[in-house]
Amino acid sequence: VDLAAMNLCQTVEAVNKQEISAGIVIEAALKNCRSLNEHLRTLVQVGDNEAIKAAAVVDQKISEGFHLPLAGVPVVVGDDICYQSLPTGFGSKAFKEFYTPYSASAIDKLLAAGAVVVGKSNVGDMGLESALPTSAAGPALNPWDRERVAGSAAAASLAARMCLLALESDSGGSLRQGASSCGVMGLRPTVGRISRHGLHLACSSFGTAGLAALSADDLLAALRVLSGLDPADVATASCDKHLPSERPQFTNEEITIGWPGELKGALALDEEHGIIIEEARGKIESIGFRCEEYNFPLWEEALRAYHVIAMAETSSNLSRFDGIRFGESVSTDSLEQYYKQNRALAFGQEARRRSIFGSFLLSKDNYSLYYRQALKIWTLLQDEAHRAFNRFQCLLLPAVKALPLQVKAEGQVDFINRYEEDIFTAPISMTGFPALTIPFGTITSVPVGLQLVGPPFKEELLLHIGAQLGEKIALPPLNSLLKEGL
Amino acid sequence: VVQLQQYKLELDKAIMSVKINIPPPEREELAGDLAKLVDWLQPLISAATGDAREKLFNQNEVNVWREDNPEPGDLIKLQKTASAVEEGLYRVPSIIE
Repeated sequence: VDLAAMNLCQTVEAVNKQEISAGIVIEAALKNCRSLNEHLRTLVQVGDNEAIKAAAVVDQKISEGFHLPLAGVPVVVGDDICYQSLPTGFGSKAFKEFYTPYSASAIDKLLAAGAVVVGKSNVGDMGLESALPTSAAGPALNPWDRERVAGSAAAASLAARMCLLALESDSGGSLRQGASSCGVMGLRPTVGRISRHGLHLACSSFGTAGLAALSADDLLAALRVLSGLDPADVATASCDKHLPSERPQFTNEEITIGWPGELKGALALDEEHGIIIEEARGKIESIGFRCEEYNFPLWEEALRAYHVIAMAETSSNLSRFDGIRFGESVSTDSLEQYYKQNRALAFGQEARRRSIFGSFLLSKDNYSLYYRQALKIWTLLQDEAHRAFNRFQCLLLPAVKALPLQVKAEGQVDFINRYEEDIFTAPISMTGFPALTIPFGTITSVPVGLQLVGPPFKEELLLHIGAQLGEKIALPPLNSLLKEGL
Repeated sequence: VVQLQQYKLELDKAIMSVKINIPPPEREELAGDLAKLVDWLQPLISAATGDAREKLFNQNEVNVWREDNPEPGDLIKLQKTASAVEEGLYRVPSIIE
């Protein structure tokens, strides 16, 4: 079985029709995981016997006449998502062999649908940061250019065909940026669409579970399984009935896409990315969609507001990692020292920085100046987004402002510059609206994607547009690049 | 220099609040980072927000209201998922005296 020649929907159909066994698909995925991971470092855990046993159960069910919507689909899940059968590390050196007592609801749903977890993907320090320079396992590498970071290890695993579906958290845009840089589709659903139970989210307000797959139909198939009410997460919406069972048909001519006007220039998009976004307009109009310019006020302020709120919430959320309940710990003479030493053990540089700065931003003298102001910007941004969707059915934005970081530049890039990498994704996270990144071209052989943003619970519209744009784009086959490069 | 000293004091307070050991060289670096962060946030604090309300939840904007149907948790079932069981006992986190 060559996973490079298959996608999720084809695999599900073949396994359900017993043309191929789930066991063979999973064996192929595990083989790719084992052979490629030493070159890419995208996985921190590779499922082995556990995955093979799970595949055998899927084959048994199929032989008993069950139809499973994700039968035999190899899945990689982020290492900040609880999964009972493999250790969960949160990107921290203090959680090397930490088994969570339960699996995330999203993983339970995937497994019940016949998917098999083949590995856990490398995440940044305590699940923070998209570019992954801070992971305890070292940065995951981009399969298209191993001199650069992946952006999202789950998306990179998918691009390298270690899996056919990836589930990873997305707070400031890690999944979307990584999908863009790895040439796959990345979907951040509406907040509330997928249960967040079992996700370790440093930033509760903006984090959610995201998906990466190879096509719009693959994403819709997975979203259909994952969406809906979860009693374990009071913030899930009871909206599963709103998601159509088939990809609905829209009339392109009736869809107006908001096009970034001033926004684009104000954000120092690098020249080559600027050219790609200009080309996108021609392609969008050539398939019948209308494009109209729009300007989003307070955009750059929103990026700053995002980071203020995210740091404040990170400071609060990470305080539970005190060495008492989770992970490895060292013994000390006093309780005070116990907290101090064990937090120092668990937190890497970025987790320390955000915890401490979050505490600074929430302190009595700074609370109104920064935090309350950020909450006001959040309101204004979301009001603006609602207004925009009175005019447009969808907004289009870049997904990234530049190519992913070079590995050798790691440690030399200022943290503020890294925060600014989120300029096109973090403000969208603040709206809670769904966003889809689609591959759109390459710059020096590294893929570049575009980001489509829709109104709440209109993922199917994004997937309709994304599917049509995706058909217009032909990236060079990565499997040949991998064979040449490794 | 005076401003950097001020940031060091602010940083010490924040570190005390977080309860984490940070060695002196890292404190120096973090004080410099804090100064950069404060500078970077200037456009945020000078943005005209008028009497905009402070947003507290994302979900209210996009979610569908539903009945809350609380159910009792199943502790025994949850304990059975513990990573280690010895002689019928579940391994639980250590407790500090």
